[in-house]
Amino acid sequence: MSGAPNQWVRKFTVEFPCELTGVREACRQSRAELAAAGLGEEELGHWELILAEAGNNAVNYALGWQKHRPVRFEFFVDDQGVEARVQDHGPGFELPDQVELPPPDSEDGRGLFLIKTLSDEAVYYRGKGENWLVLKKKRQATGTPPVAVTTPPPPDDAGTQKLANSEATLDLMTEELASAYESLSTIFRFSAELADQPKPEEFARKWLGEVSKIVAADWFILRLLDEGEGLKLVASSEDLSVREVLSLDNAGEADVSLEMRAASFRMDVWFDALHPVAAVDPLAKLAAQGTGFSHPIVINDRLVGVLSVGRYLSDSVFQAGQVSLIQTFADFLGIQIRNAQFQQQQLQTKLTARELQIAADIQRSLLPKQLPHVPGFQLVGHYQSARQVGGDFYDVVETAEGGLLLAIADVMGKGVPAAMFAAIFRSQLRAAAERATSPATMLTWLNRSLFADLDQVEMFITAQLVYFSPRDRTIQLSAAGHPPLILAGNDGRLQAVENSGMPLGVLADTEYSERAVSLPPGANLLMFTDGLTEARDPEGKLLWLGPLEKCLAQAAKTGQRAEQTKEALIALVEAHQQGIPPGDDQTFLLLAEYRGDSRGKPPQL
Amino acid sequence: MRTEKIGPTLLVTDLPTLTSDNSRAFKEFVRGALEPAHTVVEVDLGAARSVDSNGLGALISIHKTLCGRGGRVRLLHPSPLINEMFQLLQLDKIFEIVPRPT
Repeated sequence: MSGAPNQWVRKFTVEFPCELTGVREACRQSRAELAAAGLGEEELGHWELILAEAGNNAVNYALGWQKHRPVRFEFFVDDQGVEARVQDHGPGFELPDQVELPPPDSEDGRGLFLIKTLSDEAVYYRGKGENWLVLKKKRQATGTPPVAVTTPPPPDDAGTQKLANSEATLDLMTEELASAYESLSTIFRFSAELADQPKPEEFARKWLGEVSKIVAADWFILRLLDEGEGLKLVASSEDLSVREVLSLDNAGEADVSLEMRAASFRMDVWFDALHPVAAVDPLAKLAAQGTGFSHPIVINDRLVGVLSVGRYLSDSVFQAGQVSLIQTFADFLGIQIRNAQFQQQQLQTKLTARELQIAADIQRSLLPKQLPHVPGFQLVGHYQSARQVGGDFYDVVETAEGGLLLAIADVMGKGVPAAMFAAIFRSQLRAAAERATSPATMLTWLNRSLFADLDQVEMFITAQLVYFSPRDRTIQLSAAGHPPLILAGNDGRLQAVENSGMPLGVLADTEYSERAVSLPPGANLLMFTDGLTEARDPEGKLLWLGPLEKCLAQAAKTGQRAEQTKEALIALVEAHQQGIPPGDDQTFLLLAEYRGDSRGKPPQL
Repeated sequence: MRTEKIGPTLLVTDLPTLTSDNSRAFKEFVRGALEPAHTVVEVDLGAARSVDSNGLGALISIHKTLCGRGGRVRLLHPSPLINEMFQLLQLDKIFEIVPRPT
């Protein structure tokens, strides 16, 4: 208050339970005290109305446990005016500078207008655990001095009361700032750590533990929504034994479970001595004697999870600032966890892409850089990886006898594991080629060598080995579950040369057989994987063998260069696919007799 | 709180206050006493020491009920302070206010 030194100062407090009937009685008492302080009838009427509206707001805005805390009016009266402070423990509200009148037929919305209009100054401070509405109004000159002085001011100190008032106001503001600071600093520390914490669940557990200490909670339970399952337990304080999953489909559960109600109604659900949890509530053991609440975590209108926090004793309620910190933290945590999950997905996508890249690199490294030159023959290979890299590869090994070992294989599976097995197969094949020239012996040995590893991961390999003797113009063929090779002569006749056996990795003691075939004049020999014959057009129709055989027969008849035949085969497959990417690796190895240019350079890959 | 039925008028008397603690009871009491023939509700505020925004809300609610049947609410003899509040809130435009006899 400003002005002349105080002559009559009266300080008094009126406290009342947080209910509307309490407001009425408190207004009566306040009016009587203010009358004793010498206020006139009109002033008393105004103050009674201001206090009634302020008290109504304090009661109406309180939620849950906040209704158990009393509302308090504090008065400071001097000869210049009256300052009233209304303390509430609710979540608080915004008091705008200008309050507009509602439409005439509106049944509410006039309380703040009356407070603002009838007082000279009205300021609302939202603090930690409590809020204060500070109201000031000058006294009218007609008021009479009070007879009794209950609290005399310190003598000859006009500024003391003013100082005390300012101090109290500053205290309120400091409280509010401290509360905000505590929340903010916790969140900042929490954000800083999030960057180093790869697992959101561990992070949530640790920080909910920290927040529990700050707000003096005895326990917490965080559940996050798992679309397939329901509300899944993610983190809880130590030694809690609670159900892992609350199903959202269980309508009965929503009736009894605090957490499910919070999730369903998207609002905080409180429990305390007056509002106990149901005996069948999954939280019953924790919350039976205590107090606390379940808070739904909602981000962009989507339920993310539910955080429940509690104390074991019901007489120890959370203060508004503590509740605010828990709510703020929970919402922030929800955003962070969602972001972390999103990043995890992104990372997974990147990892998958990287894995595919690695697999493709392995595949490429397996292919021979250059194929051996055989006089009178041309040898070309082709490998086209699918989007999901498989385990196709081919190889050609020169043997000590002057022959060639032609190999083509398809490891069943995708990605790095398939590529790894292709790499193992290749090194084992080269080792086998040094020991034997019989393809059947090699396959038998390769199967024994690879069986244990393939069997363990439930993978298998189809392979075809051909020993080609240029001197004898013969081939010896052995195959392990692989498609037959196609052989065409310059008369256009075709034969599918087959020698079936179990794929490698299926039976440990498989003995493979082989067959020998003489090459016809102008021979064109095509070894391939099923990715070639099973190339699909946009409607899903397979290419099959026919067009490939026709192409090969034509090549043999015309005696075209192997490189041209390779381009023709690739063009054939691409024309069939009509631009859609291959679903499987496409690999082939082509041996073509070429008499047109016996000086021909060895074809390059 | 008492009501008296005078032809098309329902008169409500003995209201010491019309505030948050009794506004809901007041509204229900009046609605309960209203008969189809009533087109005017007279609320005697002569004895009312205080009326707050909740009490006003109750009066406006009854006013709307009566508007629906072409009727109105008439407020009798409010104290100068209560009258001042009606004017401040511009409710004198929707209620017919009969001042206290001087």
